[in-house]
Amino acid sequence: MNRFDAYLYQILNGTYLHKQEKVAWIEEMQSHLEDSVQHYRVAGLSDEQAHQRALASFGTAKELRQQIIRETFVISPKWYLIVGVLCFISLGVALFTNMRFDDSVVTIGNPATWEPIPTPQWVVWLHQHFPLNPARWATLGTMSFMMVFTRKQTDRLAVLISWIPFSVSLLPSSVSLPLGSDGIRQVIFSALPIIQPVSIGATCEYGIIFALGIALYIWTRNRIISLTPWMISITLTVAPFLWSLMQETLWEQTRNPIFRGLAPVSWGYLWSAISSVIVHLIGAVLLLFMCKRVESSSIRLRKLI
Amino acid sequence: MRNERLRGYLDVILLSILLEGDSYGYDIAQQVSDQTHGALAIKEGSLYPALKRLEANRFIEGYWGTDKDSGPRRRYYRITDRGKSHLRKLQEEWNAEQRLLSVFFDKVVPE
Repeated sequence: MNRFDAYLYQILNGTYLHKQEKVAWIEEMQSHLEDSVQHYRVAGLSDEQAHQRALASFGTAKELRQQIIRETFVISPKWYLIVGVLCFISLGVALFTNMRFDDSVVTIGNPATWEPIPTPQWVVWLHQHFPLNPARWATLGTMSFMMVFTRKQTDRLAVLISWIPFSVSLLPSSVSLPLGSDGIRQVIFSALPIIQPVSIGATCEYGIIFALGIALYIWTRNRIISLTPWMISITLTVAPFLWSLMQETLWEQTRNPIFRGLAPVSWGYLWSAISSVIVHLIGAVLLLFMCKRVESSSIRLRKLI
Repeated sequence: MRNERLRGYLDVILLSILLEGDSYGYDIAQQVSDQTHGALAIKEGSLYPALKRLEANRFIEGYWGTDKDSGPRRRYYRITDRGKSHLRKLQEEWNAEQRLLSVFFDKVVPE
């Protein structure tokens, strides 16, 4: 173990850098400190004094750690993680509120005979004051987690831009109609979440996400960020299924009518969700491969120039 | 000049040093110290986050190399064309700021 290792690990601990990056940083800073020690030795200091002077002129571990986070991420990834967790908690709250509000025990026959389940006051309050669109919370949560991997302003903008294809169907028709005829718009953008892995809408949506991913990579050169549209799509696809599954499980376990869904989770629904995720993952791997091809092509081009 | 103000111009300092030729962290720190005669006391470790940020913005490129054939492995940096145009832009901004402030400083009579 090198004599500077403890100090260097102390600097890099909690900086959210990748393992490979940390190894490169350590090698680079270690080489600097060794040069510095050598310089002070030549100036006549003892080994111990030279070591102490080198560390003093390099800076304190805390200062440097803060500076690394500030210069690399601008905003600490810790805050994005906190916002992401809060968004997913809000998603759970929104789903629960939607489930509990004006709930009733559904029986076969006339809806007039259905027995209403009293709605708690706090659910009524949430229904009035809390944003209850689960897709928005799921998208925001995923975007916040993807923000952890952003380094530059362009990365952060790319994460925000990733939201566009998932929001076009939410725009007022006066704004979204010029994007194409209403029929086409409905087919393409109503495909989210992509529950049916193979359909015209889903295929168009995969195409849009793939093209957006490549465009984001060319712009940011950040492979993880180019996956943001895929991650949002996977979350939007999986979240409703997981919620239905959880609701169904709670109903089976407790027989509490508040958990009773309109329809039990079928094997068909399970298969659709799994196959949709598999298609998403294949698409993501293909995207990463294309990013690599784009990178090697641009390196060749730069060398030619 | 105050060190805090100079630290704000760290990009200018690093890019202009790299404009003279490829260099590595310790050598850059020495050049800063030599060229300012020790007047700019920045912590040497703080150069690295700034160098990495400039590299992420593609203003500089890093590569591993050795000082001499048998020298230790070091990470060298070279300025890119993008970095050169960024430096020119920073220089223009600095000149504009100077012209603007000189309007007011010209009114100050030296004691």
